[in-house]
Amino acid sequence: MNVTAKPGAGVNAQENGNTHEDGRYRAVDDAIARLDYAPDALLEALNAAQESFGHLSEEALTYVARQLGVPLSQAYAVATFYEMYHLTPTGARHCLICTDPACAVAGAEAVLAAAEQHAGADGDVRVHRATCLGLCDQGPAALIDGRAYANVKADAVAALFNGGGAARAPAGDGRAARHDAPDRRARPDRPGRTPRRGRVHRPE
Amino acid sequence: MLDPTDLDAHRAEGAFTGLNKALTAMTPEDVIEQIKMSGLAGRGGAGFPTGLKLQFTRAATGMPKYVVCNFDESEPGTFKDRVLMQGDPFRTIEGVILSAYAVGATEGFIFIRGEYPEAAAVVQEAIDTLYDAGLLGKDIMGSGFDFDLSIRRGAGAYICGEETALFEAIEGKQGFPRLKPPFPTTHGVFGRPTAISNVETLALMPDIVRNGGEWLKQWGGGKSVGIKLFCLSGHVKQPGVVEVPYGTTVRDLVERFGGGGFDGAPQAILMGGAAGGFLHPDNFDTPLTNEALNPLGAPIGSGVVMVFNQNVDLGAVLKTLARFFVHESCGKCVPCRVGTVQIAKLLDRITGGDGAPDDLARLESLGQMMRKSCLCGLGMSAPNAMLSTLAHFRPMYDRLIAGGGA
Amino acid sequence: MITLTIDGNSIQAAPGTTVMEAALAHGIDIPRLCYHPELSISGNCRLCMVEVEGWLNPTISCSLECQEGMVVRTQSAQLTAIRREILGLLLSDHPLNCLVCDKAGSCILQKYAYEVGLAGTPYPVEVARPLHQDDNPFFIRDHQFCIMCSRCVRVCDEVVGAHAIDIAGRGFHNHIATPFDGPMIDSSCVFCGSCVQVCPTAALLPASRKGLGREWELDRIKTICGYCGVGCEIEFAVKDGEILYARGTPEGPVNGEFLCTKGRYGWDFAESPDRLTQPLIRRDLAYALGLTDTPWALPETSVLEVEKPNIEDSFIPVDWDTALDVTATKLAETVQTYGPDAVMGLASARCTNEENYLFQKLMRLGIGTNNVDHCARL
Repeated sequence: MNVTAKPGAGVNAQENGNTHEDGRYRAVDDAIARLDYAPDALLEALNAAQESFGHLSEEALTYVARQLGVPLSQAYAVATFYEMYHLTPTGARHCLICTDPACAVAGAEAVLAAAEQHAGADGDVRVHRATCLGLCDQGPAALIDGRAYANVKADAVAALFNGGGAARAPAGDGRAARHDAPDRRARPDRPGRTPRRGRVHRPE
Repeated sequence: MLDPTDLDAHRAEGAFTGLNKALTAMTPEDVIEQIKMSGLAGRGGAGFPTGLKLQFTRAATGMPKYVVCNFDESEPGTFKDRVLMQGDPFRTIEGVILSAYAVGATEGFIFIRGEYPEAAAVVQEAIDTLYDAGLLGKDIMGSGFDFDLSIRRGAGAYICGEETALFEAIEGKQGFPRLKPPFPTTHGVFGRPTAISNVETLALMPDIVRNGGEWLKQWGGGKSVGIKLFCLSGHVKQPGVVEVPYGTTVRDLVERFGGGGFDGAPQAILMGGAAGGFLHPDNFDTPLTNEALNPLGAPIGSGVVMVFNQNVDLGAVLKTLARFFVHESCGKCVPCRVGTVQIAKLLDRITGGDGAPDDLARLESLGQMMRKSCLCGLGMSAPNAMLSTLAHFRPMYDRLIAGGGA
Repeated sequence: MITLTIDGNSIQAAPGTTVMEAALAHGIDIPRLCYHPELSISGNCRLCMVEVEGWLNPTISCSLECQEGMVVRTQSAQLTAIRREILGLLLSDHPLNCLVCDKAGSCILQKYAYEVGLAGTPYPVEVARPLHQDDNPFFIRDHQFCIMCSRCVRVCDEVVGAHAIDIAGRGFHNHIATPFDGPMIDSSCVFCGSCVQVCPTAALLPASRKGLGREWELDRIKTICGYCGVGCEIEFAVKDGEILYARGTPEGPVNGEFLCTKGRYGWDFAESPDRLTQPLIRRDLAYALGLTDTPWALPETSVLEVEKPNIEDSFIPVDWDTALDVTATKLAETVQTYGPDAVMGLASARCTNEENYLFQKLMRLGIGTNNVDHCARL
């Protein structure tokens, strides 16, 4: 892709263009190369590292900072600023439970407690409180290993980690999202329909 | 419903006809003129006139220029952008390309919050499809116009919805908002002129360009022109996204489009999300316009309409919102970094039964100070919900202070 | 030039000047914590808010460009109320240790609290950053006093170029951090102490002064750094004849407030017993000149191999006239016996330009040789 000149783009490519010998760094190297070794690749590279390793180790942060020519103090600061980066090993599975007011009135705190209890029993799971997952119409909502779940029930939380137990959010993936989509060509001259869940109703 | 990333199906229904019209029959200035005429204002919450934004960015000196789509939808209670993007990413991307053509940008970014991995996958697939179809990249639709678009992912920070903090994140830094001025139209991402717009704003552009600026003006009026997506949640029979004209009343919105209306006797509606305010039932017949709702301290904002019935402990909701801002304050400026913490502490004290009447005056003066002195919109709006309850739900506080807590 | 009015004074300012700069240049003091004239504008403390006639809300003056005809007020009931609120918030997150604080008297937070008459905070107290890092010989990082003005981060990045520290974390519990919160020595820090210089509170304190004196007890002695030829101005803070710490001053014509690690921390030689404070003549020469009765010869073992040589074993102190006479006589003998090119002069980078000029003139005209060089050329 043609990337127009940005500050710092390419300056480190020649010097640091080698990829990491550890194959697990492939996604990180890809992100860095895609953005031409410019410092602005930091978030993209850290996203890739977080996804590849489940956390950002000193080694990974140092590697990314060096490849991009970003001061290590800045890389560390960025890694601690954003909610979704973890600096310590977190276990293989990540779970975010939304506790915003809409999910809270739907019983999110009970879901969170159940999830934390499950995590206590299963060392592989790390549970975090999320502020809003954008599923406020279908709360309580959860995001487990990058997949969104809606209408989560406290007593069904444990089953969620085994891939069942609750309805996947209609917004789950690109295909499933179909019935969740706004009717892009609805014209004002068409009669308005009763809006269904997640449907955009364009007025008469 | 169409497959969200089936380009042919979408084109059969008119997708990219607006872009085609712009590229073949309109100059960039014509596009800006139509957007200005339409009265389109930003749908992300701030409501800045989009046409002016495009005009300023086009007029700014310095190349390259950028367009940015703000898909960092993080306001609690907002999910319209996710629904739009996961259902039909092409509509918004068409708006992005139109913006780029209007301002003369050669590269654009869609900034997606980290909590939306599934939406990001849909958008990435759409972008790949558009590159394959010649609707992104070099010589779009044979017009000679080049434009590259890519996704940048956030990593969990509400502040990145603030446009300058979003730029910082794209540049690979902490999401600290910048001082304004200078504004993004002259000093945006990478310090270059940048037109940044919300997903919903961009999604309206294809229709405006295709149908002409007058199209949007058939709804609403004054400073609230056109149609707006609202996110119904909470105690509504059927929550979801609803698009209605500005000027519909709040009650109408819930009762006509909420699948049967209120779920239980309503106590309050949180308008505009955490950064918004609570609307008292006495004011439910207020029309959904900025002019009518702003004075009530319950702005439209990003379109949150979160209903709470009489069974809800409003004090607990307020504390949740206060904790939200403690968690999400970036910590750059003093009034927000410490003020959000003190709002939470005072609310804890009051709802815990240890409040004094003085605490209400303290909350009020703290909130007013934050509105005036915080560095960015997050801090300025952090006390809004609390202030709206002080103004319209005073008996709740009096009860808490007199009765020693909840 | 732009003409604007600040607090009733008509002021001329060059285009691009900020209201803060214009006000300060005309003796109008605007409260400020994060602003520093040598650093970029951060705008995080919000204390420098001013009112502009015709504007709805007050705005910060450090980033506000002067505009023609602008009418600015830096003091009003509203601004005082805002400043009191902000200072009250800062004090809710800052131990009121002024009674035992080394920075008392030069702490800017204390100064403004005094000015608005704030004895404490009206808010519940919670100190966000209990971290105390005493991990290097030069400065102590006591985070409880930190107000996150970010001056240290900016000076390290913008002036020093080390970027050893940055703001880690988010919100109330954010803090200034080295990579992985490790010791300073493991970071890219060059220990120039510029961060200590610009810190407005006791969060960054010279380790050498800890507990040894309060600001108002200290004498200030300005001098020129002797380490190199740049000529940085240093101000020593001295109590009872002993140096407690060194700092730069804004008036320093060469260096402003900034010093390198040698200038700021390398002053313990001043009171070192090893320091040469008078001329010395080698004992064998002194014996030959009749300055001592004890004969002496160069030892078999080189002094370089003696672990801790005592200088007085080999030298005796003399007065300046004697030392200069001996030097002049020896130089003249050498020139007469072997010619001027038998002499070479090596000057020092630690001397001034003027001294080095005179030195080469002495060599060329006095001695008659062009054999003159300078350590900085190496």
